[in-house]
Amino acid sequence: MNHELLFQLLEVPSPSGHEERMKAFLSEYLRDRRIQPRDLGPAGLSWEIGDGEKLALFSAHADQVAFVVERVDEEGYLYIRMSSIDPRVVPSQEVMVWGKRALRGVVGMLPLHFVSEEERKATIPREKLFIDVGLPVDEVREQVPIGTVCTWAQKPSSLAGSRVTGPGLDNRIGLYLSLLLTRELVSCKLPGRIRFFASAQEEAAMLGAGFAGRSTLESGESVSFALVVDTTFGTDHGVKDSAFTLGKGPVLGVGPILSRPHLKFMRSVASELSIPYALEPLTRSTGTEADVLSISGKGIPTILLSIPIRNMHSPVEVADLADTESSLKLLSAALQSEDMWSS
Amino acid sequence: MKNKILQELCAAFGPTGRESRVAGIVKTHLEGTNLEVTTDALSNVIARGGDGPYRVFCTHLDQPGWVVEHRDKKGFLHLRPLPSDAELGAGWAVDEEAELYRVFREPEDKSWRAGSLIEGKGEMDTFLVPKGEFEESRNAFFATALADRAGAALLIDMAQNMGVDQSAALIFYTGRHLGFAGLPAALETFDIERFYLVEALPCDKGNEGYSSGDGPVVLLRTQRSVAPEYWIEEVFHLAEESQLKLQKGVLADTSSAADSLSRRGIPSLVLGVPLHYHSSRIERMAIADYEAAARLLESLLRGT
Amino acid sequence: MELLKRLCDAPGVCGHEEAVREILINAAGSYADSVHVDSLGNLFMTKGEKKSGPRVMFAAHTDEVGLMVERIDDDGFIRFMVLGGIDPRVLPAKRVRIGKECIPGVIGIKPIHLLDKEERKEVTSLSDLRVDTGASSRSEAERFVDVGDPIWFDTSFEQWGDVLKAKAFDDRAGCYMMAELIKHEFGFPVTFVWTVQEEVGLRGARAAAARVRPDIILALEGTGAGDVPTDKDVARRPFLGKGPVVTILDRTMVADKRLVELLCQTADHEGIPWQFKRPLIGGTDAGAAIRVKPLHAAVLAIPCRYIHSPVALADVKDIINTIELVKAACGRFGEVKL
Repeated sequence: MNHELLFQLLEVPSPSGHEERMKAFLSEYLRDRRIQPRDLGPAGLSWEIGDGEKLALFSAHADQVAFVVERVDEEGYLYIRMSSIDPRVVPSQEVMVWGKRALRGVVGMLPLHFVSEEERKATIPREKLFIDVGLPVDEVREQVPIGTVCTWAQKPSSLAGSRVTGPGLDNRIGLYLSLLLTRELVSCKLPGRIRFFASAQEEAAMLGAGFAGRSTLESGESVSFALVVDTTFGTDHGVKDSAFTLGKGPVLGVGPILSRPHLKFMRSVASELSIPYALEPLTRSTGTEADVLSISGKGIPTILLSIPIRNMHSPVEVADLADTESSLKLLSAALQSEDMWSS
Repeated sequence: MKNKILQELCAAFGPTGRESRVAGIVKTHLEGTNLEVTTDALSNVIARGGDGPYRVFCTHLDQPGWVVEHRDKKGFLHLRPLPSDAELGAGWAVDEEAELYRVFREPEDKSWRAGSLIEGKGEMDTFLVPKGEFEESRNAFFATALADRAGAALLIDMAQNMGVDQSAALIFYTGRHLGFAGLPAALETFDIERFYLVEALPCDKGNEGYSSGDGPVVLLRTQRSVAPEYWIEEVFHLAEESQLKLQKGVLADTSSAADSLSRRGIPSLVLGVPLHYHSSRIERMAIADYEAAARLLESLLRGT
Repeated sequence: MELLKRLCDAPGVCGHEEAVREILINAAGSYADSVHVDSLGNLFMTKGEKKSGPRVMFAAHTDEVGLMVERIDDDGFIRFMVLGGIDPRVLPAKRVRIGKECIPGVIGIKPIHLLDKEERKEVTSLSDLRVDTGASSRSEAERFVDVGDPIWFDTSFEQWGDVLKAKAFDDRAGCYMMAELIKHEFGFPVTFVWTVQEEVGLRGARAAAARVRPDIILALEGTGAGDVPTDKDVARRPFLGKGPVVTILDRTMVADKRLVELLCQTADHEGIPWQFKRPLIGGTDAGAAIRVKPLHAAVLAIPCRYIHSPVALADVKDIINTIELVKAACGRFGEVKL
């Protein structure tokens, strides 16, 4: 699978609430393929393929975790707030500071010689973490207003086999599947319309998903089902439980809030096509947009498909493109099948 | 009669890395002898008589002290002790110009601080040493830096009796408290027959196996060196002949110049003088032990 | 700065300094009278052998702190050891490169979602960290990784105005400054030595000093800058951009007082800013050399923020000023009574 498009997506910054660059990238990509996207403002971007009465929603969130500048000190160091990021992975990282002008920065640390053996055993709390952009304080204050967002600066890279690494694979890999499916299905006969959402602010507030569901209520449309594509935890040397092996196919959510008939159908398609997959039991909320979509509008049967990644919310997330490939095959087949739309 | 040389040496300014003053005193005392006296780039002082191979007697010049590292917001000086585990206690200290400072330990984290007696004195990188004290009673020396300077005084004593035909050498090396920094370089051109390290040895714990007042000590081993057995026998034989008390000691947990020599393939023997309150400001040494050590060194110089 | 970029980007974990050495031979070799590499990997270049005056040795080390493959787990993850002084807190979630073929890998973490309260407070110990190359089994990993392979931080050199960002300024900055200094004409015999294995005990320099037998050694280094936020009342110096850093004392030696005075006075005379090293710790090749023979030793360094970590900052002005100071001071060696 040619992953150039995925790497392009990974290089577009899209911190929660600041998804403009991603929306612009997606819009251009879609217009080049004669698909007219619709800008949903702060909720994200949507586009549609297929035609007919029936409507399915396909949502992948477009945002990524980020830092927010809380304070600039008298020497020009930036202090940051964050959520869903482990402060322990922040020291000594390179970051992009999306000020008036995009700045590069590094997360500094007290030099080794200021730190006793004892102190090295203690984690550095969030409020002590700072970003150094290497500029004089006046220039920093000018360029970096409070509230400026910052993202990891690591570029994507290939690893052994079909694995890739980069920050923001959660959930560029979902967006990537949206675009691949759009490209593949746009010329196919579909049982209905698929409305794709590149939804905003998932990591912060699930705003995009809420909007997607509510909009169908307002327009009086009846939705056959919703598909949410996101990432889940991949196994590694330290994570074994509640996690899934990379390269062994997509992970399908199963639990009370998710649609059982659609899951059953997806599983049968997978078996038929010999596509490997795993099941992820979820007792209450899924931590994904499925939580919001399934009870929005008039209530929408929702399917959750996740791609396992390692090191989630760090600059070194790792995914296996074999999983993207099998997910694409499975989703493509399911979405073209009448049974999926009438389950 | 007071030991003037020892007194002068104990009072001399000479922290590790700033040994030139104490080295100067040593050189002055060596000037009257027939020995060839040299000083190298590291301020090591070396005196030789005759040709090699040499019986080498070696001691150090430097003493523990502090270096000013930072002036804090309250105006106090933050000191870095040298060596890092120096335990010299609070009290008066002096810099190279003999300006006075009061040294103390921060109650919270025990780090070293000083206040200068003259406001604003104490530039970054000022070296300080405890203010020297020297007292001599009927039977003991009490002094600051006694442990560091007794060896030098003993070697200066020897120099007075050394002839040019004796194939002996005296080394006063620098940097003892910074990993014996000056010693290896001082040795590099020597053809060595016997190597004696002259040191003051602590006997505060009571379990060293030797004690103050019972004569000098020969160390059988240090942390990373073992003295050659036949050398030890030689020294004991000599002591017996001269009717001198001599003790054996083992300092298996203490690093010594002998360790650094061992690594370079040079066997050595540590000859020590027992000393109480080691690394304090009131180190104490029995005069009898000091004098016995001086006589033993004299016999060793004459040889068997 | 093209040469500095190549030097910083090159891998050179202790014991694997070949790549850095090759760059230096190509960049500086043509300015030398002789070029020699000893059995440890120290690189020597001489100039003005026949000149009179003190023999001066410049030293900069080619190695950098890094990691080494300890073993490969059954599931393909790589356990590693640390070479040199690295705060374990900088390791999680970093990109690395491994071995001869520069295989990319990442140091993984446990996702925040799966951490319990206690775990969040703990520093992940070295034994719980692994490098993930993407290989899913030992046999797959063994195709491109071997026990003992060096692992280094995958950080690229970049220039942001005056500020430089890279790994390994300690001591590629010194390597670079020497490659620039060798173009200069000196009034005495000079040997430039790019040493090996500094970060694991100042090893290369000892053998190098025994070979060169200099009268004066000047080690050129990258040293930690202290101008970063801290609540502690400590010396927050040296400062980035405020000039060469002069060492008085470190854990291995007290610098020669006359050389220190010469450096400081020359800097003042030339209008070059300079500063003292703080705190008085660390060790350099000069400290190893004084244990070989009596010689006058000094260290001049550029300040670097976040030294010994995957990514550090330096200032191009400090590098230029340090080179200029060395040149000016060398012109005045005759004035010093050594």
